[in-house]
Amino acid sequence: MIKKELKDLDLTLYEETLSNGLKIYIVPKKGNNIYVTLTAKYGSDILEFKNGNKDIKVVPGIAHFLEHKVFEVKDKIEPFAFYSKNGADCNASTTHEKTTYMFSSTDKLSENLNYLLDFVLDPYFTDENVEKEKGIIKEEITMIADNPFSKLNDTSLYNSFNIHPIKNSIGGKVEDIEKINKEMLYDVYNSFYNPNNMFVVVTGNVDEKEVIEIIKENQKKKKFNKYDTEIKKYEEKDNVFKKEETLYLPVSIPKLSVNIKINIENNTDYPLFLKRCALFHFFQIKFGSTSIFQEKLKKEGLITEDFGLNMVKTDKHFLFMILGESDNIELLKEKILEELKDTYIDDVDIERRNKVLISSAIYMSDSVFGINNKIVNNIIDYNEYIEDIPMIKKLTSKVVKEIISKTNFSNVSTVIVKKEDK
Amino acid sequence: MKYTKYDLGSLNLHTVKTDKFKTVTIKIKFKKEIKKEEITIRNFLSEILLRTTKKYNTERLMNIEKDNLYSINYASSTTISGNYNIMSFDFVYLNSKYTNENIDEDVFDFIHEIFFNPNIENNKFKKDTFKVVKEYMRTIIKSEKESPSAYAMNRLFENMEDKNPISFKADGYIEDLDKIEEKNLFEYYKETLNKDIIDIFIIGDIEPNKIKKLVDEKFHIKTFKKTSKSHYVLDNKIRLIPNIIKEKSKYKQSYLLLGYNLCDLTPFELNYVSYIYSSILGGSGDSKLFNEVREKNSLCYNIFDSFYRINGVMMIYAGISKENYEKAVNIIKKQVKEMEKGIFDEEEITKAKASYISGLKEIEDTPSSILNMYVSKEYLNLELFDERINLINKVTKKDIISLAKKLKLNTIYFLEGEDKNDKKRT
Repeated sequence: MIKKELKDLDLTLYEETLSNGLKIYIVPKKGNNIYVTLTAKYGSDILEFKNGNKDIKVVPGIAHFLEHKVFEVKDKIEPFAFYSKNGADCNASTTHEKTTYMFSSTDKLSENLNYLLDFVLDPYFTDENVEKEKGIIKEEITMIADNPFSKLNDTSLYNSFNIHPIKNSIGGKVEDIEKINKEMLYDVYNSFYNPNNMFVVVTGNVDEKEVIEIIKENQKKKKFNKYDTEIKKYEEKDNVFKKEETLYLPVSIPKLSVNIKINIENNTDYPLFLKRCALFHFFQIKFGSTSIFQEKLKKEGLITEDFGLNMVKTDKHFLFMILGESDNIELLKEKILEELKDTYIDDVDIERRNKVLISSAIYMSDSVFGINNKIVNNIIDYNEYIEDIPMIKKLTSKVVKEIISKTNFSNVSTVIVKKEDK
Repeated sequence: MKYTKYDLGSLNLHTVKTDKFKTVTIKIKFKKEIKKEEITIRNFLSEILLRTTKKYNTERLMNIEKDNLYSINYASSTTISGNYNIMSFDFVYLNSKYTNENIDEDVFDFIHEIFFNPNIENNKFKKDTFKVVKEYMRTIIKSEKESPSAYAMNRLFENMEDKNPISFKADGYIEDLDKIEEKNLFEYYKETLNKDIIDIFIIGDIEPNKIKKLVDEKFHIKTFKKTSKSHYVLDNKIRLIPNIIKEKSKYKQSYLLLGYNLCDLTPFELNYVSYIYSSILGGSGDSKLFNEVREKNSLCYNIFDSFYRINGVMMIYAGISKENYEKAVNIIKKQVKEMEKGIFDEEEITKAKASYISGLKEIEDTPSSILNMYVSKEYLNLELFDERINLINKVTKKDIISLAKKLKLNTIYFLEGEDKNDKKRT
C-alpha cells in the first residue's frame, strides 16, 4: 500500500493494486458520508477494438446502454432495492471516456461495497431484458433531445471532429439503439469490464485497511479472463470537420458555441496538466467574468449573461467551447472570433487565476464527492493522482505565456441556434 | 457543533461553531409576507445587489474582488415558502487556515459593501447595471417555456388553486418587470432593509463573539419586526371531481402531472409520515411508481412524487410518450389507491426510515444543509437532528394509511408532446 500525504489539503491518499490488476484509491475523511465509485475505463468513445484475435465494432450509445444493463441481476435483490433497503443511494454515469458505478452511504460499508463489486462484475443480459431496455433508453434520448443546450453541445462535437468517435453523443441515436443485442453487450463487457481496466475509489468515513481487506476478499472469489483488449487509435487531424452550422429550435434567445480545437502536443514539453491549466487561464482571462471583453459586450447590450466555458479532451486534442446568448448572434460570433486573434494576457490576471485554482482545489477537498470525482478524473486523464496545488505554484506567467504563444487558435467551428420559424 | 442565537434587536444572528469544514457559510435571509405583484421586484433586487456596488461599480471589478477573496462564492435566490417570500443571500468562503487571518473581516467588508453601499446615485440605482439586470430578468421570465417541466408544474399549480402562492411564478411577471424603474427599486430596497424580517445564519470554524461584533458593525440596521400570518398555506379548496387539463406543446416528450391536496394533516403527519409515504409511493428508484410505471411497463424514463409541505400540495410527475397517457394515469391512480389500502410491505417502511436517517447524517456533512435545518427551526419550528430521528422512528403503517386517506386528487395536467409517428410521415 502506498501512502501519500496531501499536505495542502490535510488529507491522506492510499493506493493499492490487487494481484488481479484492480487498483484501489482511498482517502479517509471525518464525517458520516462514505462515497464509493467503481469505474471502467470504457466510455462512449470506444467503438472499434480487438479482444484477443477478434475484431469488434459496436454502435454509438452502447456504453450507456451497457451501463443500464449492468443493473440487471440474476437470483438476487436488484441494486436500487438493495441500496434503498440500506438507506444508501446508488447510481451510475457514462461519459465519453468512462463508465462509473457509485453508491453513497453512511454505514454498512462491507455489505454495500461487496454488493457493488458483485453486481457490476456479474453480468446478466438476456434477449428479453435487452429488448425491454430499448423503450426506456429511447425515452431518455428523446428527453435530452428537447434541450437546446445539449443539441448545441452535440452538434459542436460532431462538427469539430473528423473521425474520432467523440463526434457521437453519449446516448447514441434511436436507430443505433435498435441494433443493440445481447451478444454485442457481452462483447463489450468481456473486453473492458476486467479488473485490469477498472479501479475503485473510496472516500469518506472509512479505515483504509478495512477497505482493502473487503475488496481483496471479494476479488478472491471471482475469476476473470486474461485482459487482452486493444483499442483502435484514430488519426484525427487538427482541422475541424465543419466550420459553421445554424440550427433552428424553439428558443427564446439565440445561442452559440464557438469551438476551438487545439492539438494536445501544442509544441511544448510541459506536463499535460499544466498545458490544460494554462489554456483554461487564457480562456478565463480573455472571455471570463473578469475580462474587459465581456464587460464591453455587456455595456453595448450585446450580451446580458456571462459566457459559459467548457472543455472536452481526446487523446490528441482539447476542444474549448465558448457558449453565449444574444439577440444579435451573428455580431456576437464575429466579436468572439476577432477577440481570439489577440492572445495577449496580463501577469496580474494570471496570478489571480492561480489563486482561484488553488482555492477551488481546497473547496473541492472539503467534500467526499469532490475528492472522489477528482481522483476518478485524474486517473482517466493522466493515469495517476495529480497533486495540483504544488503544480499550480510552478505555473508562472512566463510558463503560461510560452504555452499560449505556441498554441494554434485558428481551428474553429461555430454552431448557432436560432429561433424556429413558425 | 455549538449553536448560539443572538437577538440583536433589529435582526437575529445564528452561529454554529464547528471545525469540521474548511469553509465558512453565511446565509442572510429577508422574509416578507408574499404578494404576487412583489415577486418580480424582489427577484430584481436580490439580483442587482450582487451584481455591482458603489466601490465595485462594474461586474468585472466585482468578480475581481471575488477572486481576491480566495474565490468566495456568493449567490442569491428568492423562494416562495408558503405565505412568505424569502430572499436569501448565501456566501461561502475558505476559512483563515487556508487563506489569511483577516478573511472574516474582509468578507464582512464585502457584505457591508453589497447591502449598504449599493450602486446608486441621486437616490436611484445606476443605469448601466440596472439595464443589464432588467434584460436578464426579462430573459429569465421569457425562458420559462424552454423548460417543459417547470412550465408544466406551474400550469398544474395554477389550475389547482390560483390563490395558493405555489401557483405564482417564482421567476416573476413581465408586466411587473415593466413597472420597475431605477427610482422605485431604490425605494423598495430601503423598505426591505427596514421592514423585512432578517436572520443571519453562519457556520464554520468561527469565533461567535467576533462574528457578533462584525455583524453589529457591518450590518447595522434599524428594523421594526412583525410576524403575523402563518407560514403554512391552510385554505386550499378541494375538488370533488378532479380537473383534467390537456395542452399541446412542440416538445417531443409529454409530461403528465397529478396534483393532490393535503387535507388537515397534523404536524407529525406533514413532516414525518408524509416522508415515508412519499418514499414508498414514488420517492426512490425502488418505489411503487418507479417499479410499476417505468420498470414493469416501460412507460417512462422518470417518475416521482413530491410534497410541497408548506403549501399543502403533493404532485406526481412523469415524463411519458403521448400514446401512453391513459395507461399511465390508470397505473398511477391504482398505486395511489393501494397506499390507502395499505398494499405495501412493512419492509418498505423500514427502508424509508433508513433512508431518512441516512439523509439526516448526510446533512451533518454539508454546512449549507446544517444551516437550512436551523432555518426551518427558526421559521417553522421544526425539530433538529436527534429529535427528528425519534419522530421518524415512531411512524407506523397505520399512520401511513390514515395520511393516504387525507390526499385528494385535485387536477390532472397533461402537456402533450409531438407524436413521433406523425413526424416521420411528413
